Amino acid sequence: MWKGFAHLLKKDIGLMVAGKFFLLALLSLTLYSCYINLVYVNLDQGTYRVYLYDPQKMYTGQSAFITTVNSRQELENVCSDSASVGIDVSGDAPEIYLLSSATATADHYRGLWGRAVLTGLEEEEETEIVGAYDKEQKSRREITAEFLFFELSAVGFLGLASIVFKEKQMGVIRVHGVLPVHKAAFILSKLSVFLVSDLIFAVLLTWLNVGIADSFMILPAILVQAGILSLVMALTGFLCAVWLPDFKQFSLFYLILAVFVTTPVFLAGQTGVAWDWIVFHPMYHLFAAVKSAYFGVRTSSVLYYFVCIGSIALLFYAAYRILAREMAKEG
Amino acid sequence: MHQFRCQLGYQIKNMRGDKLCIVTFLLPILVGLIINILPSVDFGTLGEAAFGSVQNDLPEEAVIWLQGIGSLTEYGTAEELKEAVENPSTQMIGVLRCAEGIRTVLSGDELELYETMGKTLPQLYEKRTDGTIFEETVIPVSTDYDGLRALLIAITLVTALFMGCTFNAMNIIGEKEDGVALVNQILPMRARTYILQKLALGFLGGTVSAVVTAFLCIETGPAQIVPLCALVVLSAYIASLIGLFVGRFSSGLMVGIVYIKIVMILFLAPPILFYLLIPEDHVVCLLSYLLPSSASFYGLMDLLGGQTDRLWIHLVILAVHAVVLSGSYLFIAVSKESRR
Amino acid sequence: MIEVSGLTFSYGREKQALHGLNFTVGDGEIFGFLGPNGSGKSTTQKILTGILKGHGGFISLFGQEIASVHTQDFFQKIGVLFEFPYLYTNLSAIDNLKYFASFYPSGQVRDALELLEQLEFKKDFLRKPVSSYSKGMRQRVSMARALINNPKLLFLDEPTSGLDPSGAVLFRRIIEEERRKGTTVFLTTHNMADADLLCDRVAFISNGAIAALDTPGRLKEKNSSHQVVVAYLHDGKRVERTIEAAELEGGLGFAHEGIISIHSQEPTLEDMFIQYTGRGLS
Repeated sequence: MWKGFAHLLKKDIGLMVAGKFFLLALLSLTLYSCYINLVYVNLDQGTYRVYLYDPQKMYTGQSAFITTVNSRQELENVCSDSASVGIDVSGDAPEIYLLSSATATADHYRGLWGRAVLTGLEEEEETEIVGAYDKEQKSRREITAEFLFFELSAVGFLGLASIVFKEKQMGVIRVHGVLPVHKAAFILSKLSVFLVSDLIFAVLLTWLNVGIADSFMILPAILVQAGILSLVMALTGFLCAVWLPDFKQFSLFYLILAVFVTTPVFLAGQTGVAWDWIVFHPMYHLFAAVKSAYFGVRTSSVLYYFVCIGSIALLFYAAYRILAREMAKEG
Repeated sequence: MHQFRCQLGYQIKNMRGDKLCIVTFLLPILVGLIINILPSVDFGTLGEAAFGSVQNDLPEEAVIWLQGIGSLTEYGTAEELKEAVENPSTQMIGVLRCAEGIRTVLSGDELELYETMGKTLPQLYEKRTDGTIFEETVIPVSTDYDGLRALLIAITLVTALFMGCTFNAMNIIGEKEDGVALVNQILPMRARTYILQKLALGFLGGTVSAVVTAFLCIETGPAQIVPLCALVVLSAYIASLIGLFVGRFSSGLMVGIVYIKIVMILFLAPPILFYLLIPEDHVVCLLSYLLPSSASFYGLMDLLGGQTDRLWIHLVILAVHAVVLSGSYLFIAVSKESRR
Repeated sequence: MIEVSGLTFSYGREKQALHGLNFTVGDGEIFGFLGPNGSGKSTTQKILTGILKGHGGFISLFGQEIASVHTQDFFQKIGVLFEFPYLYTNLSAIDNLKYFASFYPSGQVRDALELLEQLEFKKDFLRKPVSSYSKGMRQRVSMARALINNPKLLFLDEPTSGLDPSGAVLFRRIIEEERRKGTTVFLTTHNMADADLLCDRVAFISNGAIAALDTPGRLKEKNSSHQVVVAYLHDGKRVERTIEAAELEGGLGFAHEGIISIHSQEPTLEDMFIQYTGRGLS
């Protein structure tokens, strides 16, 4: 029964090649890497800019944070965003002029910052640094983790499902029901191909964006998490593709999955929003584990791995049952 | 004209049976409704600096001072605080007592704003009792929206507008899948009628979805209605044109869905990211205007922020996109027609 | 109505689909275009209906050269039934027909309900979406779509495919009615029975070339062995004998107690096709 496994593998690789899956993965890899290296690592949120209108030149030896303007009108013009602070010292008392950012505490800080800059800030003090990475390293690891999560959870899911749909459309799933091949082999061959391709993708994405030397220590942990995510998503994709009658319904399901499942995860993971309920969101744990792997943090407990293995086994069983039902139905 | 309305009516009726289109139509409206009915959710906390301290470590005065300039979270031990500071998801600045003053703990990977803030915070704290008297003029934003609520509304509206491309793209792809595209070729229908029909379909979908969403979550004053309408109309028209391109270049449903996803990611992510992280005069931010959605997004953010003086720039950019895209589509359609 | 001379077409440089076809179709004629899959039938129909361009040779439709003929006016005068029933699956039969009818001048359009009734479409399904229809029902709606504008020239590609025998008979009757009204029919089919029963003339196409063109009767006659098989009773037993047809003129020249049957040995259209093209119709 397992003799045909190699042929199944060959057929699945052929289908992936025909479906331009590898080409798409390569394109994604290039796109993500270009974005990370050319754009993302250069992104920063600068310090609030301070503009000074000082016609009497009272404030000399100004701080590097201050830019002088020549009129009140110019001051108001340059302070028309919520990231600037204006100081007008032309009157009796210095005036802080700023456009509200609609957050009172942020406005208050901007006011204090303007005053402090004007009255003179001493050399920046030595501050205790507790992290292991600088901004660029953090940016690279953070965004690479996010892209890997996105690629595996969304694109991988869609990739496997599209192949299953193609086979469903061609009617060959029914043919496999009468071939001397174990049904589990039909699922396993697809899983193997996607797993290997996802792992290769993870390695390349990490090397290209975190650096080969920097990723040496973290790569094993990344591969473990990528493997878990790949298997979970591929099995979910397989289940949905066999279960749902047409690709349109599947893409509807996918849209809902993308919007309602991954958005809160990204928000919670990216912005530090504290949602108590997020711990009940299974994808959040997968995302957190991928991110932790990139930062070399061991946060995942034994329970996490136990749940992951259990889920994969359960999903595999469900996929097997639904495939058997589909083969029987069509046959 | 009557004929065209009648044909469009049947096309809309056909789209009504398409669950994917209905969901893409309803999704922004649903999100708009959630933004509207949950006014108690304090989005504002995300726009302010985050500080962390150890319980009973800081004097009461420092706690009140920190709460005045950001959000303050207390942790049980210094270790817990350092872990929170190290968390790569946050830009938290740890604050600890240091003799009469304070000292800060940073993770070392902060954005420049928070790095400077962390390094200068002890001096700012010291200067709190500085006798210099300053007058303070804070120009209020002429809107009820705090920064993040405005951002969410703008994201939802731009999504609604650019979802318009789903309607005509799916309609065209559906026609290809069902073979109706072949029937279209033997109907006495001019290419112009076909293009107008498909444009109207995407335009209606995007506009109605955006208008309903806007109605749910924006309280517009009379001065905002005209610019908002202009933004919506131009953006929906461009989205509809993009739908035409997606429909034309998609060989099947699967390819079409992938294209739509690429368009949605490409059109939504960059303007939001650049808006949040880059000064508006930065070259990357200016380059983002190559995407029509950037002009829609920045325009909406300006509108929600009560600023209307720069709006015409966004409208002009959208108009240029509309002209260039229309020209490109017509050129492709005409050259394909002559080659067929 | 249709005049084709030296028609050539190729998909890309290497794939020549048509190798110089020559035929004419007269006004009010039913012209059968017979050939196996991939022989060039659909390509020819697509060129004639203006879907495919870039052909070689000369084509005239409605007395005009094809380059100038594919105008709105031309599309108003033709009806096309494709090989598959192409319809908006979310719309009902009535909505589909009303939608497609809206492109033609109102004075030219037939009543959709009447047409569907003529095609014996189940009334319960009139307002239900096409996605719930069987293949036969979809084919009926497609036929109605092809006829909705009272075409002067009707292109039919496998019209009876997916229909049960009574449906096939109904469709043949409708095609006959169209002929009676003066409509010219260009019928592309595999179905030899349809071609034999309906067509005034048939062309056998194989590998992009016409192998034979004549009336079905003449094609069969030309290749007939002119023999008949007579089954009769002799001494209480059933006996079969093959004789020349001419022998019948003088009566049966052998002893018999009764005739059971007489079968002509005339070849079928399918036999003719295989003979002319060396290929089956599969």
